[in-house]
Amino acid sequence: MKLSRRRILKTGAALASAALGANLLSRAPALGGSGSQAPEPATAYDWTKHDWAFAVDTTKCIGCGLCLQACKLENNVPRSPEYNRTWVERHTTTEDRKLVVDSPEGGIEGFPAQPPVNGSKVTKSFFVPRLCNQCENPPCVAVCPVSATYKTKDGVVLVDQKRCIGCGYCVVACPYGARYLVPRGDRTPTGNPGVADKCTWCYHRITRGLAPACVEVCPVQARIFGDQRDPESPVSKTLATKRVQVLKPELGTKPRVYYIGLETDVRQ
Amino acid sequence: MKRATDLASRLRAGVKALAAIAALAVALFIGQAVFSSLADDYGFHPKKNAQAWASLTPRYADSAVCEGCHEGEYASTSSGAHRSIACESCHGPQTAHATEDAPATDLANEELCVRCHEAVVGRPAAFPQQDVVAHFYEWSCSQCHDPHSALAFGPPPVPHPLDKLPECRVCHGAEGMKTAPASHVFGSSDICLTCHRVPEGN
Repeated sequence: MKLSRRRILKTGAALASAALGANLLSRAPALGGSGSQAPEPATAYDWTKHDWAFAVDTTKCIGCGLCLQACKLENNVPRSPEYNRTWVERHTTTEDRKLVVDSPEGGIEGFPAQPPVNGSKVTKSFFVPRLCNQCENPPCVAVCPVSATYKTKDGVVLVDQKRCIGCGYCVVACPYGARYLVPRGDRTPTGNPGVADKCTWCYHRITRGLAPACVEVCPVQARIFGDQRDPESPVSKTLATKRVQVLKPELGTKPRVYYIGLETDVRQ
Repeated sequence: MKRATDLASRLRAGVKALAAIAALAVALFIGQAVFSSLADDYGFHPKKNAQAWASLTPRYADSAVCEGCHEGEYASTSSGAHRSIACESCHGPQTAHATEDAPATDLANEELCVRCHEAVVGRPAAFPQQDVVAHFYEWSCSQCHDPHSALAFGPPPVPHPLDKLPECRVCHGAEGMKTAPASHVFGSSDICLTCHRVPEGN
């Protein structure tokens, strides 16, 4: 009796491994095929050797919107203003201490000379570039029912758009509004309509040693990027020398995007 | 006798237990091997999907790539106030142009000058901004400014029909192209015209 039970267990284990192995094999070609057009895939890249971070200097941003334009061109983001991987807001305080935030079409065409303050006197005003914070503790990953969204070992949150079922939980879970669902009929960088998409810090660029597209085109270096393991990288130097804050620190998400020159109202 | 049987059965039980533990260890070892390879797909860090993202093609090349053919423009840009601006900030993504010899899809135009240099509420005070209406008349930016070096090389000969020009001080004021001596008072053009005449033939 005992022997037969052991045999059953053994047979079961063998069958299970065989089934899992077959599954693995059948899965592999599909995934391998998705990135086959690249001329120089970053094969030498080791994600355990990097720790990416991003800094935004709001004291430098001029609200020109070149970052949005570059992001959309680089990453096939739909042109309509409601779909953005990054955007820019203008936070304006008026004489009567009212706060006005404007972001026409995310700021992709720049900003009008005057904020919408109905003629009130402006006492201060500045631009805030926004993007995915690539949280250390990401709520979007926690809520995904099919584990399609995940953290890479070098500090980026990505979406497996072949697994994503487009339920939109991650879109509502993100406290920073950094995600969107690709409209039906449109295509994501990895080829699927209807699924979740978000900033990847241009994962295809950073793994080749290039800066994300928005950082590359920013004319005033308001966007700063680099590897925290390299003390000479722009972001390491910034974090070492500047006073920085993160957005919504009370949520415990541990963002990897650090801001210079924020106001309380922006942070929360 | 009873003792011996007892001992023997205990031994047998011990051997069985050891065998069970060994079997479990082997099963765990195999399982771990299988699952760790599955983790590439289904684990907390699906490596294969990350590789798929990493293998997408960049559309923005890098200024270093541009320098290979456009040395003059590159040198001129890196010597002036526009030195921190990447080529593709103004010219748009050029990987296709650089690698496949596709024609450059150039996004650069003079609206870009205005996009950055128009006086807009919210811009840092130190950033060079212009009241575009007062500063710009009917020429293009590049008639007076080189977009690469960001240097103003002086205006072309300017016809002076006063009804079509901005106030005198725009060009002849303290920050103008052809500055009048500092002793001058800069007010409306009417003040200038009390002493100065519009050049003849214009």
